[in-house]
Amino acid sequence: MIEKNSIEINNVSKSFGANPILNDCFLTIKSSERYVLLGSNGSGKTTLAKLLTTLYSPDKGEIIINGYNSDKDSEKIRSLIGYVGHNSLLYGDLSGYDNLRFFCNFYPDIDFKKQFEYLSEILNLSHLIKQKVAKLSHGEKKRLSIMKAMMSNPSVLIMDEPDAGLDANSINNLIDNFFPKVINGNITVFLTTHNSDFALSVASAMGILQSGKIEFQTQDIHQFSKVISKYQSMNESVL
Amino acid sequence: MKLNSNFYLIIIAAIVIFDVALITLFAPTEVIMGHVQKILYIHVPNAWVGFLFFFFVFIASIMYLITKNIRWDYFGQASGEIGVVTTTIMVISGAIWAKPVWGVWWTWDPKLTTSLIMLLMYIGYLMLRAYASNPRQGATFASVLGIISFVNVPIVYMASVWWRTVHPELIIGPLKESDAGLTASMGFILIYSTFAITILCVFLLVRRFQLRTLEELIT
Amino acid sequence: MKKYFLYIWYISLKDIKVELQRKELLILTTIFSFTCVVIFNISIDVSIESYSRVLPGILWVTIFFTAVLGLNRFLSKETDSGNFESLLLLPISRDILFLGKVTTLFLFMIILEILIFPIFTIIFNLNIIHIPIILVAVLATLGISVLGTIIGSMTSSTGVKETLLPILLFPLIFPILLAAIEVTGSVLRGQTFAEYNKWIQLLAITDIIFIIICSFLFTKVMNDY
Repeated sequence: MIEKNSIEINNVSKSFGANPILNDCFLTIKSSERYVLLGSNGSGKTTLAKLLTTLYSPDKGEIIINGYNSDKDSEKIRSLIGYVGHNSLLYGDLSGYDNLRFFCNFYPDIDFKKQFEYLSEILNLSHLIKQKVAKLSHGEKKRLSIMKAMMSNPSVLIMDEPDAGLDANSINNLIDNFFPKVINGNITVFLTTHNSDFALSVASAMGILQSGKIEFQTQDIHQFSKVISKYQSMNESVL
Repeated sequence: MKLNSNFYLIIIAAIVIFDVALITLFAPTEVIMGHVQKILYIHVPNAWVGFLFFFFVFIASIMYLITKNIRWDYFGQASGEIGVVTTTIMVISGAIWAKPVWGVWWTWDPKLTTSLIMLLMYIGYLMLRAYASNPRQGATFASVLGIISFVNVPIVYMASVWWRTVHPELIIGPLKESDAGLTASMGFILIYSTFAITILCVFLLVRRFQLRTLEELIT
Repeated sequence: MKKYFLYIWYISLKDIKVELQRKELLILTTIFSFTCVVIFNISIDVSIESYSRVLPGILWVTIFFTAVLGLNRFLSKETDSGNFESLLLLPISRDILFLGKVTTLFLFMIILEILIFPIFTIIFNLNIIHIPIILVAVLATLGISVLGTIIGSMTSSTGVKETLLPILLFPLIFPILLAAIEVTGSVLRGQTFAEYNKWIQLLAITDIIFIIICSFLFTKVMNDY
């Protein structure tokens, strides 16, 4: 059985103005992998995440997700990914339920009711879902945006610092409930974070983004602690 | 083509100086309008260049969006900057000519109206690029605006023509731009002036393009 | 094909739902245009017989400025809270997104005009509610919505959005404004349809041209948003 590559980043460069953020970046993520990308602030993690969502397009190189090219088939890619970013991407004036209803309009093959009930239970949102999003706390909004990302049943989930702003309970809930039950080895995950414990708990592969390239990556869980200490020492030297 | 050398500059300067001489010394004074008529030798060539360079902006915009080669954006910006200048000269020289001849500084004649709107679109084109958050975005936005603006020009002209026929009292003066016909020598000088100013502006265009390219290399 | 228009409608419907929650956009723009009308009325010193000459200009200038105000608010609300990203992430082509926004703006402006036209009629004591004027209003509003949406989406990501938008927008909608003013004036003067028919054709053609071009160009604008 040939293991398909879910995500391929080939020789990608991206800059805004004069500053190059990503420079001849290479990355391959296999199907059902849970790839955690570590990197200091400003290293380009968010840029890379947005490149995967087709929000940005690479200046050079190509990005291929499930066989689709991000420049040529961007609509197709958007139909099979879910994205959790820094912004909640939700409409504050509408309720969580109305938000999800709106977004799912564009995924006609989804069984809305089933997904909705399943995910709101796992992410502990059932009691909040009818409230206006603007009234929710930061952590609740984050969980809701994770739910939004999963509603469309994506085969690739892209999460940019999903743990940021979450309390310890919620993070544990992600680790103990969300990842085993929802992800369950069926979905490829690309995740960025600063939190080493969180990274260790969910990763099946890890890498560090530095100087616009992915360095020190591994799929061997025994190497993870080495990668983490490498990352932490990098950050200390910066400070 | 080594434009760094002053060779071309000298030649073009000579062409332009000869043009000035032609206009001031050799051009016959027109019977009805007098010396003022000679402004036409400035007004018409600048008008032609203004429209030509707006067309360049259009081409640059399309080519940038297709090729994503930033040099097309430099070309568009250079054309835009020179075009603003020539169009402004055209509008001002037109006003100076109009006052003694038509009695008013300005009138909503279709060509004038279209030129003024085109000038505003030129300026908007440069402003949007300048205020964008990064050069790439500026290039994309300016190209989009460049295309929309150019497509708008014939629509503006049509609307202005109909507007004029509905409100003739807004238009004072002869319906044709030049009342009297042009004699042969006037015609020649007009063509030569057009040639001189076009050559000058193309030279400036290339220089500005090179300058813009150098600016990027330095930053 | 049906899905295409359905998706456009969903996007517009969401905007309407959001606006119904706050109601601020419609209220603000209505009050603003009312203020414009009053200012024009008291500052332009014409006898009542001349109203029919002056009113078309006042009407359409007011609508233009209100549209600019509304556009700025409408587009900045989305970009400020990062919600534009969520729309860009949808598995739909960019022109659906564009036309959805155009539809929202169009509907808002039509509602505004439904409120403004009677106010004008009352303050100026001149009936402007005629079928040709309504037709022209619909076409002109469509043109302004199309151009306003694409220009607005570009200016909203600059720092000077409020001031830049009218500068860029005015020359582009100049023929639309002119056509709307001319037809309104013609109808008020009692001219025949044949006399102002060409303006309506101009409006229709302009709308078609710009809808096609701007839908296509919007995709380019949204790259690297």
